[in-house]
Amino acid sequence: MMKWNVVIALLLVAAGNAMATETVVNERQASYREAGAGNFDAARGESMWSRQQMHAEMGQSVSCATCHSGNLSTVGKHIRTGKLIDPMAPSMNAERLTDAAKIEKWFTRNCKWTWGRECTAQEKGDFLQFIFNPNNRR
Amino acid sequence: MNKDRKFITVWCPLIRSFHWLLLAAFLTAWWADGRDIRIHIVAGTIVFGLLLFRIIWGVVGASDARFASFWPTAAALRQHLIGLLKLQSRFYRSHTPLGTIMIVMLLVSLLALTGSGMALMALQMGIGTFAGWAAQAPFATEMIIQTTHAWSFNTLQLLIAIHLAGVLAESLLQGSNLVSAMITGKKQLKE
Amino acid sequence: MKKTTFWGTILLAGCLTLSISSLAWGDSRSDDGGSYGLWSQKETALPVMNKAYQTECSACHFAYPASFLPARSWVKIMGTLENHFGENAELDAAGRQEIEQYLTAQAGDQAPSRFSRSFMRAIDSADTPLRISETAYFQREHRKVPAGLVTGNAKVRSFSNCASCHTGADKGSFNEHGIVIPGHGRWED
Repeated sequence: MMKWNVVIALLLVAAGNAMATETVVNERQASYREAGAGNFDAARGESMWSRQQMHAEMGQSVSCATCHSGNLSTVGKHIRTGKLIDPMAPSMNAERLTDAAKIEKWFTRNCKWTWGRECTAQEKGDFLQFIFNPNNRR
Repeated sequence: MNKDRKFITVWCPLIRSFHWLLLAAFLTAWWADGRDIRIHIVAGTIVFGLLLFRIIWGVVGASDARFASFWPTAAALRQHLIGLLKLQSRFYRSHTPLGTIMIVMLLVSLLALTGSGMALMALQMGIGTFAGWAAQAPFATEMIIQTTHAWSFNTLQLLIAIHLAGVLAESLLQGSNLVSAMITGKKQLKE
Repeated sequence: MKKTTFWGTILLAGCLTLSISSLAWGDSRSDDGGSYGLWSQKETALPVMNKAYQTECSACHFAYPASFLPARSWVKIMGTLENHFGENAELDAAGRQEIEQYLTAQAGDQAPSRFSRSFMRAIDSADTPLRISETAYFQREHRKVPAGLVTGNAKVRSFSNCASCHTGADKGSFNEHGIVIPGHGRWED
């Protein structure tokens, strides 16, 4: 009897997290649309994810995938420190995309480091679409 | 065999208390290092206070405690060493000549250990006798003092090992339990 | 009791009292209500107590104790986050300010703690070191550690990676009884 209670509780938590992610992603994408972005496309997000660009200080080409892996379900590894990075996919990591401030913070840092500039609202929306909804169900 | 045992009283209560308190405080400080710096410091400070006592007592104290009463001549040292190598026994009322050397080395090493410890405490925490000096001391000085503290401890470990071996050897050669003598103050004379 | 025993006991008590009481003597600057006195001394550096610092600054690396660097170093680090040792670690203004305030208030030259005096003493007043691992005190404490066990060790990689060997580092403990080098075992000094 107790075992079923635990299972149900865990499912509710998982469902709750999934709802939280969806809420946050919707809210972020709504704000990007207000800034002028159009439709969001996971395929576009995916191709940007792997797009290589030369990084002068590292002396090599880098992309999002360099640290986060092209496969969002796997553990990533920081290119300089070797530190392991939790998977990006919300299905593997319930914390992903549940905090809007955290999303914006990492966009600022990583777009600037990888591409030398801030990402546009369109690019951010496409990235979120790729991470949250790779099959582009919407 | 029930021999008629004859005992003489040698060590006064202060010397005995000093010896065992010193051991207890030293072991406490050893254990506390890395575990609780406050206990380490208090134990080490007690060691220093005991050293202070022993030096003064060795000058003005009970007759068997005075350094002058057991200080060896060069001849006595030579005689003791040769006797040891031949495993010959000879009764010594007080500390043996080599034993005296050991005591001096122990006291000097303990002074170096506690002195450097007090300096380190001042350097790292700003408290104690040397705090005023430590506030202006350069890093090179701290390194020297830290090395002194570590090396006097290493030296003491070695000296204590030799001291234990020496007490055992002399107890066997003299036919007298020197450990119990340091507890009761009475040495057994071999018949 | 014999007379010598009586006076000897007085002498012993006096010597012990003198040495114990010397613990209370100290630098007048440390005499501010006993917060730097003997009984408040810890074996550990102050563990990180600011939640923002802990969250933001241990996402990528160990959250270093503020007391290991002087305040001017923390100011410089917090003022150049867009190029933080080659990475972009930018923060929003409020977060940046909160963390800088915490770090400078707890810096080694502002709030003394277990190792701070030694760290600060080894730093020239004209220098503003950015790496704890490059300060003279740090290098002295690690002088016997072969590079092969750290920089040449895939599980450690760098002397900046404190927590990989110092098992109590997150509680501020760096003592020699708690060191386990990955792939090598315990390290006793």
